[in-house]
Amino acid sequence: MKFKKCTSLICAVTAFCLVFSACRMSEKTVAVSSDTVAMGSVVSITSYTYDEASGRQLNSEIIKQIQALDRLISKNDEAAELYKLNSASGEAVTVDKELYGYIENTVKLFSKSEGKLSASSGALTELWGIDTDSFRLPTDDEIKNALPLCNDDLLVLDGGNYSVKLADGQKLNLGAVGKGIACDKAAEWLTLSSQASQGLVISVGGSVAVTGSRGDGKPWKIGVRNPFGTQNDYFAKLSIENNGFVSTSGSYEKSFEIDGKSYHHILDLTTGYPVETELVGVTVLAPSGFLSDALSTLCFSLGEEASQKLLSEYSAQAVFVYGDKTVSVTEGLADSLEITDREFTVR
Amino acid sequence: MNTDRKLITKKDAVVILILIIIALAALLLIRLNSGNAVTATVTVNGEVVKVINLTEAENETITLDNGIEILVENGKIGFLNSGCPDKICIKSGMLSHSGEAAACLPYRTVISLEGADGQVDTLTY
Repeated sequence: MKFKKCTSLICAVTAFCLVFSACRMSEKTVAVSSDTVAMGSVVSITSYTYDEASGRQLNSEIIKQIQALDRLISKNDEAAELYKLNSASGEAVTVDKELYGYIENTVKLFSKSEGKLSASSGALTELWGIDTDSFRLPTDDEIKNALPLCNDDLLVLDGGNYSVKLADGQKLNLGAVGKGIACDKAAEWLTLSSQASQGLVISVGGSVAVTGSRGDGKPWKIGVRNPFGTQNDYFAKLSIENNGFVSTSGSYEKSFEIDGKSYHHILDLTTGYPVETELVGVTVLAPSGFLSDALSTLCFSLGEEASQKLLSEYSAQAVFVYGDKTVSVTEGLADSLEITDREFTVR
Repeated sequence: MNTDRKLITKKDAVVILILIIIALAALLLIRLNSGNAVTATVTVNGEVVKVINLTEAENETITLDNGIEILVENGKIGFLNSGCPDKICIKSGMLSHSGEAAACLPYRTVISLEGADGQVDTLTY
């Protein structure tokens, strides 16, 4: 009798543990998603936390950070600091230290673009209506007049008191790095916040940051947009363990057609017209969002060969997609990129 | 009375077995529940205005306060009508997999799909 009681007790305890652990498995991580429109694009966040309330809290804090960033670096919002700086061209203006840093970093990185890109491309991008999504084809004369203003050498940057002086009519445009910086903000907030969180994935208009983990031990999977498909088509999956920043620049985004000729939004400052290239898209994985965003535009403009040195200098990897649906991948990504659309082949 | 000092009797074994089956069933049920469901969330200005479980949703057309019409059909969801000039939202087509999204930027309206259907976490574009 004693033994029977004992074994029954053991069974009951074992069974309880089994049921309990089964229940526990489902509640260890909660995925909380939030979407909004900010910086002129869709912002989607999914955070993986231990309870839903802290996930919601985290997402809304990050959205606030991004809105604050937009009030700093937007060139269209009259209340934004960059807008005010652009409106005061011709005189030295002391700006927020953070904004000064973004300007300085962008100037530095785009100085490696063989003159194709600059931080002060605003005069030209406004002519084409790129920042406002109201595209038009400027005349040759308009372009000829705007191009000299897009030269970063005309900027007077004073790091001592964070002052910036633009030449008359010159306009800064941080559009090529803004979404990446927003990703940095999100990752930074996750590190700073005291909320218990396992991981986060954020997309700011297609610029992506992943940090931590989803709680299931699997790597993050980022779909790389199929340049020939619709908005939700991807041709490959990029696997990332823990942290990474991924951005894509392509001629399929923000493009328009006039008289049967297609124009895209990445302008070449040596010509004043959209970059001429066999590439249709470049995706870059980099140690920061600023770098992934800036480098994807740089690599798209420079082409695969000239990009290699830059990529290794900044410890970044890239996927180059060509108009004939061939794909070229830097060595460090060879094992983490899986092409899922069979129409695409490796070059 | 059985004086045999067996550690586990037949009855015990049956009880253990039943309990193990219950535990496994609970585990399986939880797995299934979190498995294939795809949820569509519609937000306007960052506020959630509609959450739809696409796996179980009936076909319907939803009209939002801002006039945008959203179509739910055969487990898919998409923009049907919008007052925006470019109609990029409608051109995004019908969505059915987690990780997919469509947006009407002028109306600050976003449809996004989440779930664990084995696709991607997000898209870079």
